[in-house]
Amino acid sequence: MKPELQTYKSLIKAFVRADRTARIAQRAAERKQQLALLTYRRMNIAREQAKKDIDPSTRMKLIKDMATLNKRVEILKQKAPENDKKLLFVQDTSFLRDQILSAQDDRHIQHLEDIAAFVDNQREYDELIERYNPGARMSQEEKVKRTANKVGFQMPS
Amino acid sequence: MSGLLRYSRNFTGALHRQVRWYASPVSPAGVDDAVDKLKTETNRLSQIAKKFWDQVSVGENVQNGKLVIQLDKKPVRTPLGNHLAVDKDRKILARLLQKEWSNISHGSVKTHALPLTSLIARCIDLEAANAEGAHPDLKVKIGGNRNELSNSLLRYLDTDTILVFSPRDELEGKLRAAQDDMYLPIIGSVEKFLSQHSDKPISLQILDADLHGLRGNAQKPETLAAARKFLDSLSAWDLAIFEKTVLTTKSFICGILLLQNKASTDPAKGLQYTMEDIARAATLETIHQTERWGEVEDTHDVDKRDIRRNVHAAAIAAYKA
Repeated sequence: MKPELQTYKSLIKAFVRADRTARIAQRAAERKQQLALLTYRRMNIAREQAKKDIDPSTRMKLIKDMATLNKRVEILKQKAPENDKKLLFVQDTSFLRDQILSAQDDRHIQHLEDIAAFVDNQREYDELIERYNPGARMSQEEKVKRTANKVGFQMPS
Repeated sequence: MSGLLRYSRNFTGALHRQVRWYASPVSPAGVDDAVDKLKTETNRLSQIAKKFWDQVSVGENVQNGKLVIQLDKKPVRTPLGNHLAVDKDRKILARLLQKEWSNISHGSVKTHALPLTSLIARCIDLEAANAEGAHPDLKVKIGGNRNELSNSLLRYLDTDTILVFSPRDELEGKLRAAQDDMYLPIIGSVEKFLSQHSDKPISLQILDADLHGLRGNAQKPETLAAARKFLDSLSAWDLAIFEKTVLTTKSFICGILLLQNKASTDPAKGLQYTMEDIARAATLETIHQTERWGEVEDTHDVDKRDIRRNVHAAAIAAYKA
């Protein structure tokens, strides 16, 4: 294999791996946000339903809305960003391809290899830090909950 | 009266220039860090632990043609308030910086998460603080006085990793053999390289555990003078990279190797090494000791990646086509 091709391959690999972790985390955050929003809307509908003086047509509409919301929540909960095949590809390869094609000398190729090595090492460093400090990314809410659990308490829901 | 007003406004302006969280100076010199208590976008990020932007983009500054990293079309700023911008021909560097920011998935970002941003910010600030006509306060704020920087960096030459040899009977002589193999040619070439900055030939003082036992190491005054001349010959940008490399590898010589290979298109004879070689040279003893005794989790593995990511980041920032 040509050295350029080898470098291109390692660049793509490094970028895919690094982006994948970040994008999974981003999607998980987005999902959490959407779930919170849907729960809020469900709560609103439930509150409406609890009212006594509503006519049957509105009641029907509320039930329907509730059903669609429940469905959306179900779908969202089933979606696991880890399984998304799209995350196994670089979104935009043309930039990297241009870089490789414009690389004329060994020095430039070496530079691109340094970039791949940097991206790889940075990702592994992040992974290690996360593995050894599981609390670092935890939300304050989660930390409080776990602290309470430790002494046998539960946070009010 | 209006003069006084303007003066006071300038003064408060200088006070309000903010040091941002992601680029805390790496200089060991005493740095005033009371300045980062102010409300800025980046301080906000570290405090509220929430991403406050949607889009990260690379824009072009119309005035100087530089590529600027932007959050929602607003430029990211360095600790001294300069724009985080790189030259137009360094597209890939701009792209990497953009990637670093767009890959942040959660708010609680720590300094270690953005190594390239913090290094480039340091380069830009050191350049700005040492530019002609710059306010002298700027140097104090980021620890950017070149003379003091040189002083603290030169201390690393005394105790350079590359200049310390372990006893021959340790690890059945394997470590010493590897050190002789790797370090001796580097030392010879670096002596030649430093001699360019001196009228006498330079010889580096090594610390051989068999001959000298347990003691500190110190270089001769003429060696230090030559090394200082070398430091003075560097641009502010290269000096920031040199500083990062030396602090990472604990070796002045590794800094020279990195700059020779990346910042100049024609490295001096005998100084051609890859970045992996440099990282290996800096951790040769650790490599051999962990081979024998095993790795300690959360220590050796993290350090290994840390050194490599920093050396490679420095190489990327130093690269000149």
